[in-house]
Amino acid sequence: MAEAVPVAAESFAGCRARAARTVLGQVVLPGDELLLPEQEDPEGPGGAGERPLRLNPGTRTRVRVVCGPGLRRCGNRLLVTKCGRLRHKESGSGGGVYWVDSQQKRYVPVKGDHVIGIVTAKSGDIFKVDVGGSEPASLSYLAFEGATKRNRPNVQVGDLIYGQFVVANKDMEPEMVCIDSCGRANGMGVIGQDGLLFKVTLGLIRKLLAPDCEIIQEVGKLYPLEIVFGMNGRIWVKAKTIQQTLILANILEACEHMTTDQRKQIFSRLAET
Amino acid sequence: MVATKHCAVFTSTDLFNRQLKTQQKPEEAAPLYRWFRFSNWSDLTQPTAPCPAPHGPRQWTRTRRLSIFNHTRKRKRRGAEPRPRSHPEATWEVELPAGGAPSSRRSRDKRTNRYCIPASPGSGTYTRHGYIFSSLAGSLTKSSENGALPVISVTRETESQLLPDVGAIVTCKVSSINSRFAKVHILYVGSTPLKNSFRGTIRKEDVRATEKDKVEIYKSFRPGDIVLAKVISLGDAQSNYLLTTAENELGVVVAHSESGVQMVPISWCEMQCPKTHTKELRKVARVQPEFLQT
Repeated sequence: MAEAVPVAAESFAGCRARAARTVLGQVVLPGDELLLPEQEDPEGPGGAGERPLRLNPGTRTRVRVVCGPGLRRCGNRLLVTKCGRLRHKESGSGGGVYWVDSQQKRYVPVKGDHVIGIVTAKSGDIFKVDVGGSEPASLSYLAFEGATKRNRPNVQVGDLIYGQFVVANKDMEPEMVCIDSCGRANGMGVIGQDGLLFKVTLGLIRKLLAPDCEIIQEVGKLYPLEIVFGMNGRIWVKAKTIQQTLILANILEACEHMTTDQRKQIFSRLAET
Repeated sequence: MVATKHCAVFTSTDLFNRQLKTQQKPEEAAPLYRWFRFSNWSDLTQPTAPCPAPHGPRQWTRTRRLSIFNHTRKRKRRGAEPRPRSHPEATWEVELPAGGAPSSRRSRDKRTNRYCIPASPGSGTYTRHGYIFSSLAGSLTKSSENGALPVISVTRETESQLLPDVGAIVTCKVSSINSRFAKVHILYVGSTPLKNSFRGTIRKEDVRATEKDKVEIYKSFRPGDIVLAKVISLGDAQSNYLLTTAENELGVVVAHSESGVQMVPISWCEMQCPKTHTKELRKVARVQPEFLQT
């Protein structure tokens, strides 16, 4: 995973913009400027070289490129704002999506994310839930399935809650709910009593939640378990015994830095015992 | 002699205007008040016949009036020495509410000479029961205009601070937002900048005039926006002015986008950044074209 990446001398502090196509899969640092494919060719139209005079400038085809996380539009170039590897994905219409894969442990609330929170306070008709962001999120007691003003949910301070954000921006405190838009719980709500909650990086969560993740399939074959992933880097695990729960927690934490072979080795060793 | 109570009931409220305009002695003009005699407080409501004044007709001296205009006569402190009472019997005193330093009041003066200042109240004063009271601690100024009543006003400093009044249009800056309200700092009242900024609150239901329950504060204001608002209340104990933007001409005037560029309004609810062409939702004020500076 951590192979030595040759860093070109001219890319130091972004003093010269590079073509995005040549940097795919390489480490980029904040401040680097990237040129989009249509601007690379100095001979063609829109390049850095001399542009031929055109009577209809509108006939030049414009490619729509989407800026993903870690990138920002700066004029007609892309500016890197996070350090990581540059990725690209082609989409049917337009130039595709560019983004930066970065390692991050600190969570920033985003609308629509499913997270695990810990109830820290009850005040009036809202709960204050710690989700690992800059502010505790507020959760109304009516935001549970089947909750009415008389039928309050049984939530105590210290409980674990799995919910999603309805309001999350940098100007206000985030608000979360435990029901979806139809009013059904859909797996959200108070998480059960036993089990273990531990913290991992956000990148690992995204990897584990990707479709067809091998790790989860292998872990599922190992022990019967219950597992909840929160996009804020929190995982809740419950197995039959405490020992199994701890083993699973250690495996998931270590999966981030293991190669596939090492992982298969460990799983086979555990399956024998 | 039976101790009785006398009560002076004013028959006319324009006490001062009549005296100034007629320029005659009060006893020559129609009497402004009549004396009634009663023995119990409960008899006050029953009609009784007027009686003669307990201490004789009032006597006006011209010199005393002029001395008050010139402010040469030093005012006596209340309670320093007992005032001479011309009438030995108990008389009913008019108990006026003690509100600040009265600028001109002689209600306790039980002498035969009673003084009235013919004037009209200005800033820093208020009238109650026909008397002018000061509402500030400051220096008294009188401006005598030609033909009109002199105006008495009390000023605290050389320049008085402008306070936002109910109904005033204020310019404020949003400091923080909540799902229920937006907190603002009031910077200008009308076109006058304030030395100290006041705090104000724009509640969710005061943002728009229509569809008040569907308002989202995040789609109307953001921290850092400059907003034109109108004061609807001076606020409660937390001393936050209550503001409203529920008019076409009120709302966000200046706003910056996420990239830091000042945005251009494109409709009553949207603003666009000229650099990134992203649209952001705000409650935009419809500024008259003559006030726009391009």
